[in-house]
Amino acid sequence: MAPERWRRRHQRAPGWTLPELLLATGLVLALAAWVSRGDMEARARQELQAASQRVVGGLEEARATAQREGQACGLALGAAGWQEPQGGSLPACRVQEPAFGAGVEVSHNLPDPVRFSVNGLVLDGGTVWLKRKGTPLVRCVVVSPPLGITRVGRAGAAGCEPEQIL
Amino acid sequence: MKRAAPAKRDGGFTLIELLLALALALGLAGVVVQGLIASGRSGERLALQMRERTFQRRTLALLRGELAAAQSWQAGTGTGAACNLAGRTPVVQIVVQGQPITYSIGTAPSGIWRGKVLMRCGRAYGLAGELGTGAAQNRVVLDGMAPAPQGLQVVQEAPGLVRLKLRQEFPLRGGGNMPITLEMGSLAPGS
Repeated sequence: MAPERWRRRHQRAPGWTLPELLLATGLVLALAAWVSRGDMEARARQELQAASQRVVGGLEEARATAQREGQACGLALGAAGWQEPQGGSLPACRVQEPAFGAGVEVSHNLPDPVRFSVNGLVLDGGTVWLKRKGTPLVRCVVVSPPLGITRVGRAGAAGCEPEQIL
Repeated sequence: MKRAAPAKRDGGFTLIELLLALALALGLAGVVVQGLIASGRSGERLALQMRERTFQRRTLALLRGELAAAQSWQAGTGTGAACNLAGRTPVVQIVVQGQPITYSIGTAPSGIWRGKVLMRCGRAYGLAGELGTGAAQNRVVLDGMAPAPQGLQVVQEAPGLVRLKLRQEFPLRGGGNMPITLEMGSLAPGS
């Protein structure tokens, strides 16, 4: 067969074959699934981080409010965030902290209410645990009276453990 | 004589050019990423410094309040402490309303605290900011403390006047420590 005739017969039409197209689609889908899963986990971690900052922020705000107004007050930590105390006669501290994000589960051993003295001392302490579907990370916040020093960490073998060094 | 025509190159890069460009781009990206990481760490350190300074100010304000209300105080002793100090080094003992308040530096009581902790053993405060009447409690006041005596020093400067020095040390990833210190004067009883 003459080379020119052979080339013309075996010349491929432009575009992809079906196996190539299927392979490319499969790869794109796998990549999209991987990125989406990573994104969901990152979002869940971000929400946990925001929730832990809201626990700390609420305490700081309540402390500052009690000191500024010279009025002892209390707060309770509920499933959705800081709220008015359910028990006792202590007035609620005025805090602006928004509620935890959807899906954040909270458990803690703080009393109801957590009390703040007129000079801004935090009279009660404990540990708050925060978890959310979509990430194995469990955040924890430790509150120590009387200065209300807080430390944010993650659940580990030894309980609430600090983050990595700088 | 007829000169030979120069060899005709196809358009586009050669493999060597492509590899060189790729290596340069990767090197540049590496430098940029390292710069970003360093900048992030520097921001984290600054945030830590600001946060810890706030806690240090609170700690010294608490100490100043207790020293100002004290009947007596003594540096470096824990004799008669109302709690078990669990091997921590006593730094200062302040007697307020006849009750000892002992500050000690040593091992943390739980894993969340970084390094050595400063603990306060004494009666808890009440809602009006007054010392309560219940049993003494041993609580963490500050962590990341330098070992005693550098962590907290109470030094008599003049009759009725002391100098309080706090020092925290946080380990850095590349080795070494980042110290954070604060000093304040305070009124205190005694000669």
